[in-house]
Amino acid sequence: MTPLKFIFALAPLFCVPAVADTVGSLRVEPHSYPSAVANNPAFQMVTNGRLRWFKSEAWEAEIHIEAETQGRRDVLFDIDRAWYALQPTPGLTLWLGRIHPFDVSRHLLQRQPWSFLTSRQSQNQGLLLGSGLRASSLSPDPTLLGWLGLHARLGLAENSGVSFSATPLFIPSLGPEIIFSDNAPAYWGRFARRIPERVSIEGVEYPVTLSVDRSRLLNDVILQPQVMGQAWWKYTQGVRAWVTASRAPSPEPEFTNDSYLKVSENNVTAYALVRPKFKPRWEVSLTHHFEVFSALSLWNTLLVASDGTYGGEAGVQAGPASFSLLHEWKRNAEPDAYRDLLGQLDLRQQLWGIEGYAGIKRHFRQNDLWVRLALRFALAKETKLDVGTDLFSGSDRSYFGEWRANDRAFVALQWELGT
Amino acid sequence: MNHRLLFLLLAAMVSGCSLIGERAPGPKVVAIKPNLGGCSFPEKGKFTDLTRLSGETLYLTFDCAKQKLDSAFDQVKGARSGEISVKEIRTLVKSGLLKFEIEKDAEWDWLSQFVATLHPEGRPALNQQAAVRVLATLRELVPLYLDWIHAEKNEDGNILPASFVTLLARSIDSAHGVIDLLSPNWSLTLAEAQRLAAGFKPIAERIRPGDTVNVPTLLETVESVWILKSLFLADRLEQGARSDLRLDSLQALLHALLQAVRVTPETQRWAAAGGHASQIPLQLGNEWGTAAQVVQTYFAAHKFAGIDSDTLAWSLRRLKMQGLSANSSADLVRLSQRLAPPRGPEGLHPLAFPKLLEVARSVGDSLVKARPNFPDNCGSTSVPCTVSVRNALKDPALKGIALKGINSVYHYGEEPLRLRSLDVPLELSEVALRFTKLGLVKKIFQTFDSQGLGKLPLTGLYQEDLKDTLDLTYTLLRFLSFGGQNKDPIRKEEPLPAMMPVRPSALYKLMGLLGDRWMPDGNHDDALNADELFSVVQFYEEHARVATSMAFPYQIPHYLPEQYLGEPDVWRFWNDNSVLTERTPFVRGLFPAFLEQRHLARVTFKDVRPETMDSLFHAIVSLTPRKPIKAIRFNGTFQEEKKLFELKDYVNGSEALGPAAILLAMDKLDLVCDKDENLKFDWNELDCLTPLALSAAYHVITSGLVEIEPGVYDLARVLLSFLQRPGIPLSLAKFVLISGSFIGPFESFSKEAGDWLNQQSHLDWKTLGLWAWSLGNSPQPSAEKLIELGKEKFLACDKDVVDGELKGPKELRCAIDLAIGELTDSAPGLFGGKVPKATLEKFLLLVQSQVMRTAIQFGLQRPEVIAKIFAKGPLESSKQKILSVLEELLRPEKPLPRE
Repeated sequence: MTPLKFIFALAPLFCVPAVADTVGSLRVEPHSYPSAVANNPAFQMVTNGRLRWFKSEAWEAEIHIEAETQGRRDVLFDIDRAWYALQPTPGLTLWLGRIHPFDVSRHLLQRQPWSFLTSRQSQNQGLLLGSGLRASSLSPDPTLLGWLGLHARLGLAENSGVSFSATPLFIPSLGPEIIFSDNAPAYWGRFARRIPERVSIEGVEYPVTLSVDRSRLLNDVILQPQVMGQAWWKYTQGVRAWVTASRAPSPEPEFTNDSYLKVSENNVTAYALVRPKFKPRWEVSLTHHFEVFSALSLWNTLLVASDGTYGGEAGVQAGPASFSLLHEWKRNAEPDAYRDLLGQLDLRQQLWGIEGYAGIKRHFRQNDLWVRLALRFALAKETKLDVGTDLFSGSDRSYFGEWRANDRAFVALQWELGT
Repeated sequence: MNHRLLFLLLAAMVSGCSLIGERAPGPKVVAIKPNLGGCSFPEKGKFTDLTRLSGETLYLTFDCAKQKLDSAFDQVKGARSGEISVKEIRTLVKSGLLKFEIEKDAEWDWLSQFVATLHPEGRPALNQQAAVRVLATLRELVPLYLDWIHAEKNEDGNILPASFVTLLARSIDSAHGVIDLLSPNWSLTLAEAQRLAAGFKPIAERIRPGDTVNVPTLLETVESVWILKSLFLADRLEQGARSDLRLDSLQALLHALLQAVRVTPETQRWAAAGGHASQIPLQLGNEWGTAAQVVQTYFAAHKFAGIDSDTLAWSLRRLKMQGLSANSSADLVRLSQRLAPPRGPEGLHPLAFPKLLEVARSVGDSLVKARPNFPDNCGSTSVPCTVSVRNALKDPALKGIALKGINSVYHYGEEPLRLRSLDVPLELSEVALRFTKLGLVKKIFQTFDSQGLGKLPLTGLYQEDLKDTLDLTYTLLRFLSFGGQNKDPIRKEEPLPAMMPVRPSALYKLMGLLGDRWMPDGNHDDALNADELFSVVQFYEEHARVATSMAFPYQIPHYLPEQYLGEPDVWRFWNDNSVLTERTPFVRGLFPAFLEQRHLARVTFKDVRPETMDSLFHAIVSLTPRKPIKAIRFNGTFQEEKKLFELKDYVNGSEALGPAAILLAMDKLDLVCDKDENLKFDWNELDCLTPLALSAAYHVITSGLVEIEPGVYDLARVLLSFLQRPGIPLSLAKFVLISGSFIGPFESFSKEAGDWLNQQSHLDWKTLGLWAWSLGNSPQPSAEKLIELGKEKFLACDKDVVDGELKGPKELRCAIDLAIGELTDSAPGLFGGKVPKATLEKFLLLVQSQVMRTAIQFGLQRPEVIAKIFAKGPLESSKQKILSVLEELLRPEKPLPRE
């Protein structure tokens, strides 16, 4: 598609504000890193735009665009939400379009994408890890990818309800770009999960070239029906619960039999053909939220899945600070898995018109660390300036350690529209 | 609270700075454990005893191998689909994924060529399809292998013949499939082969530390072998003698050879049963003939390159093939062209071989005919499968080969040896070998018999009459000459061939002598037939072998000229004419070496005095003055202390030819003429021996086969030509042989016999006439004429009692004096006036010696007196006496007696 055609295709969107309410944001973030990594330069500029059109609760469309202009020039465009709602009878709401089931059930963890339960959902993590998509949030908050299908919510009583979501399609998460080449090792953005660069056979290492088998993408990935049923209720005034039961695909990429060692007269290279494959998985979760008093609340989540995985999370919110600990038990778990005895601490403090924020994440078994420290200055009502830093540390085979060369200082200038 | 929290945030920011600037992690590595095929080979223990290998284990092995192979090709890919080139394998080895014990470029070159032989298109790559085909073919052989190891066996553990034949037939059928695994598209050029060979140097030196490979020599050897391969492998692309080596050509040859074996089931059954002579199958000739036809068809169906004479000579010279001299290349070419007339200037062409294969049927038939001569139960327990020469001579089938060749007696131990000459056993293998050689000689003979007469003349008025004979002489016998090996030490100048110094004109006469007269089947027709030619071939081969063994005994010091120092492979000079020895120890070592090598000779030569032999050989071995030479001791290798010796009176190995010929001739005379096998020659046996010995000695001397003093040469030639004359001179010769001397007193009569002879002297006019006639050159007259001639010449001696008869000592002495006078008078004319005066005088002095007088006295007697003499006492000769005569004849320094 040529740029001109792309602009014409987007043209109807510019007419939408005429008939709907519009909110949005535009953020420009210069990032400075200690050094270049691979083909990612030491200085990168990220632009993030988000638009949301809605008409009361009748319909909504939300898009976001990200672009990295100084380095690899990644461009990401996604329609995060696009739905049309119906209320055939009082208490029953139907959604047609793209929305996440947790939005439908107003799940406690809907806005906590790094929690145990939501981290298992497909997420749009953005171009660079840590960029929040919502203007109001300093915390990195990738968007849960919506399900394109039919959703229904039925309020059974004042404080309880059920919902059901179904979609014939599965939209996998869109993360930092990884470029595969048939003739060379792959390369990727700074915050992509690294893929194997070398294989070790009998103690000898060879460079590996990965390629993706896209021939069965439709059947193995896209055409995966998903269903989720949810129920929620309130025990008492301060205690709420959510139960989810879902059938959803779980990512299990496999090396095909077409993986091989390519040997020439000069060198040996491993070629692996990776087939994206998402096997269906049933899982049930139970989440409780206890609001002890206005400044203190607790929550926990338990989950059991049909693939033998189980785990949970327990968290506490005390005023401007929150902490949670989560873990997942899984056979053949990767040593650098995310849900591996992870502790997360968030701090937020307003002082003299300056909002400070600190976030610390650490896998206690992996001994890694991610620290975010930032300050937000309100330059005007709709204009804010964020200044902060991200620090990563850990061993080679730890979740955050992979990015330990990505320590950075950032500035984010943000305009908000229609708030 | 808020302040503290802010402070905490700031502190965290400061402390967090320590985390800045960590290095990026290394590449993400995924460990992979190769899983080839997902199967496991059977335990090693199941392969330790191959006879107990089960089919299940073998099938499992092959199936798993195939799985692993497929899996390996799936997991490792080269530039071409379905194959991994050797260069790519080398990369895998360098990377550590594969472990091979080869390192050097040359070793990889060898591997490349080996792998290419199995590649469908002949590329140096492991091809998956080809490898699978190899495995599948080998898998198909499992039942056959199992049948071999479980075949029914006899009590000795050998497979029963019937089973053996069946299994062999199946194996041959399977072998065709195995051969087809070779890539018909594989080819190797000479240059590639030489590169491989040059690369072999480090490999060879690694396998055998201390050895050094001379690369230029190696390259020449490769080229030589390359050229000679054209004699067996088809030249499909018509590239000539140095054509590429192609596997399709090799396949065709192997298929033909397998097919040739396939059509010989009875032969196989016989061989499996032990190959005993008593069980020779009646179809042997048919089967061998059929097999030969198969091979003939192969040669007829393909195109072959010829090798021109010069190229052939070059190849043979480099290969130093034992018994096949480079100088015989022209003869080889001529021989092949006689067998298969060329269609162009093709040189040696393999189309000649099919002609030679035609003898296979006749060899087989001959063996079948010879079968009854061997014991019925031979091969079982203690009965050997042999036939004595004595019995062989009585059998029509074996008669023609019985005496022709070296009859080994090693099986009978060394001492004591009580065998008589004709008791020597002939083994079946030797019989088969001689039949084969006889067949080949006959075939060659036919090619030279341009007139189709079945014989080649030995004498003729004109050179053209002897054309075929001379051609054959040149062509055939030179192959058998002594000193096939030779070497140019500095590879610049070719040395003279170390061949017998035989002039063809002399040689063909000797051939006639040996073949036409000495052997029992010789027909004395002054022409050679095929059987007689075979005698010659066998004798010459024996001669060469005996001479070689005599020339290089370990007991005497050997030397190599100093220019050979630095040669890398000096061991090749062993048995070479480059090796020198001092003349005296060489001569003294000849006879002991002969006895050492031929056990039976210790018996047949037991009465021969070594000093006689030394003296004789001193007369024969060259005395030509030689330039002093610096040399170093040599015993197959150089001595560690490289001390130079100055040799003055030295000879090389070819000087053993004359002595070897004499000793062998003595052996043959035993076989031919010693009818009672008592190692002595009585008067009648001397009738057989004397003409042969005289003519042989005469031809040897006149042809210059041995080098003797000119003066001695003249006398020997005159004397031998005289003694060969029919009638009384031949009797004189017999007396000389009985006496053991030309000049000494004749003491072989007993006193009683001598006295009786003197008393009974009563000469016979006819015998006297015969004496007179023998001094002329006219044809032998009738008996009456002889009587008249005797009276005419000797009547003057009838003095005491004039009664028309010569009786009594005085008349007898007169007759003897007259006979000698007759001889003296006629001597100048007798030898054609070409004899130097001094020689003639020496001859006449010899004639007047005591032994000659006695011989003449004896010879002039009437036959009944001679018969009486023999009744009175032994008159016999021996090897010692004969050799003494020869020694006396050839020794110049011995003074001749004067009366």
